[in-house]
Amino acid sequence: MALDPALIRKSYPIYRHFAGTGETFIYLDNAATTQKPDSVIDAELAYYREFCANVHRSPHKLGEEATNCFELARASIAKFLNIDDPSQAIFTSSTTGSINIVANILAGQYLKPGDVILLTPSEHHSNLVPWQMAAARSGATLEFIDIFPDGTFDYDQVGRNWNPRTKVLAFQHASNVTGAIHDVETLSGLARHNGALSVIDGAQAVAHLPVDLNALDCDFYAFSGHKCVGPTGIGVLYGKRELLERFTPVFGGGEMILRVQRQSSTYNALPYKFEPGTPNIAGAIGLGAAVEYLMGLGMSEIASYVDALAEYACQRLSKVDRVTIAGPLTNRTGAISFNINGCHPHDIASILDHRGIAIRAGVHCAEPLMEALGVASTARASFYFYNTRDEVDQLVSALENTKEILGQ
Amino acid sequence: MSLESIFNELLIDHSKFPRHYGHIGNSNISVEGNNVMCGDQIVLSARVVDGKIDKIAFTGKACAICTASSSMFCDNAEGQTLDHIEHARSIFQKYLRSEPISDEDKKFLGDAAALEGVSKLPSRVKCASLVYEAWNIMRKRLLDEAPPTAVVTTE
Repeated sequence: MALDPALIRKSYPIYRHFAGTGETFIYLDNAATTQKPDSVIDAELAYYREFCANVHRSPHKLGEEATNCFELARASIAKFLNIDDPSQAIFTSSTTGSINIVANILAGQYLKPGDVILLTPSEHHSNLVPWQMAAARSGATLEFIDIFPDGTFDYDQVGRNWNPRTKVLAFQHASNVTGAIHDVETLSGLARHNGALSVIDGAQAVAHLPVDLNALDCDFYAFSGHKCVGPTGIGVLYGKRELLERFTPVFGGGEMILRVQRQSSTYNALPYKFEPGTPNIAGAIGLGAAVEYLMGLGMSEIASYVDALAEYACQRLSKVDRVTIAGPLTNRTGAISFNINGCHPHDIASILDHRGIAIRAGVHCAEPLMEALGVASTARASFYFYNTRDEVDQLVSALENTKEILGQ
Repeated sequence: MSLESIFNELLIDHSKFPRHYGHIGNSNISVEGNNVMCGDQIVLSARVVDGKIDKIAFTGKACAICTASSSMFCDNAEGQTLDHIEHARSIFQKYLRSEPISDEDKKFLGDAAALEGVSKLPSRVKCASLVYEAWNIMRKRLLDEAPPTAVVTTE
């Protein structure tokens, strides 16, 4: 069934708030973070108000309830991403946290001097800087895939140009700047065929399309809760079981051990081996509620709604004089980066903000991509399933007005 | 405050037709200002003779607010002493914090007084400030108080 944004907004406190104040609230910064529905906020609050206790250690009813809800959240996430075994879903702080764990593990236990880490130039800094650090530590080097001006690239060429010393292929499932969606199944297959591990930044993709990790068959996959209607400060790292078992943890502490002696310790089983210390319990429970909410709406329904809205937005924007869109027109998420010749993205964002329209401007944590696109920065409007065509129209008319104000 | 009064005619004029934009043939000092997150990048150069700014100019790619502020700053700084410009910087900082300033101080700012509205856009104060921070480092270098390689940011 097609999604109805008017109905959806009724479950979002922020939309009810602005409906009450009467202020214009057009939120088009969903690639930065999404708004949260009642069910997510309520789930976090319930933990703090009704069963606040530590997990996996407190021998009382409250502790049992907290543990139960925490593990149910993990089970929901496993179902959401079609992961066979929930213990392969490790709670972390964020996509950034997840990638740093993998990069740290691989730098210390897998990469050798002269090995190659292959990336795209479109990576968010969170999937670039940790690899720069891993390379510096292990003696590996970074290489980059050639991209087209819209952020897409030729998979066959990646195969043809494959450097046999490549040991890691790390890339984004979808770009936070261009919105381009990449084929994880093909690329992780290419990595596997060539004896390399695949590490996927799923931050932008998980919110927008059905993700079946069983079918995608990648080695590691990272995402954040807050970009898919969940809380901030919680993320997930998925890993193939044999890899998670083979590697030793990079952070030590409570919970991640079975037995501790003065000189050494025995590590706990998965997933706890990679979850030292008291986790973000409320955040995990909130994320469980978020993925249940998304499954309730249907990820295919969300994808088709946002696809149609993004296509409409691209069409309207491309007809605005002097607007250039930096990204593909199809096979994309709702993140649309653009420039208006003669208007700086930050000025555009400030003027739109004055009209109640929230967009992002800048380099979007992807400085090398700006260089590849040949721009200093972009403006970015990013849409989600609670946005409407009417909001696209208001964006377009505000952009016309922006050009006038800036004397263009 | 309306958008039109924030992005007023004088601001737009300075951003579209920046004064003192370009290179100085025989400059003896330059400082780079770089706000990486938003993509504002300027280079402020000057020729300093006997403790006075004989010539000052800037280049770079920046937003309307940063460009206009740089243009207005240079307009005001050329021919002045370091102390004079430093005084302008301290007034301007107060101005951007929405602190009250006297009419005399406002006059001292010259065209930069047209940037009053920027104080109503908290996320853009850094854009208007970039040239002043570049200046601050330039002044410190002239007084041997800062290393020669400093790149400034207001982010």
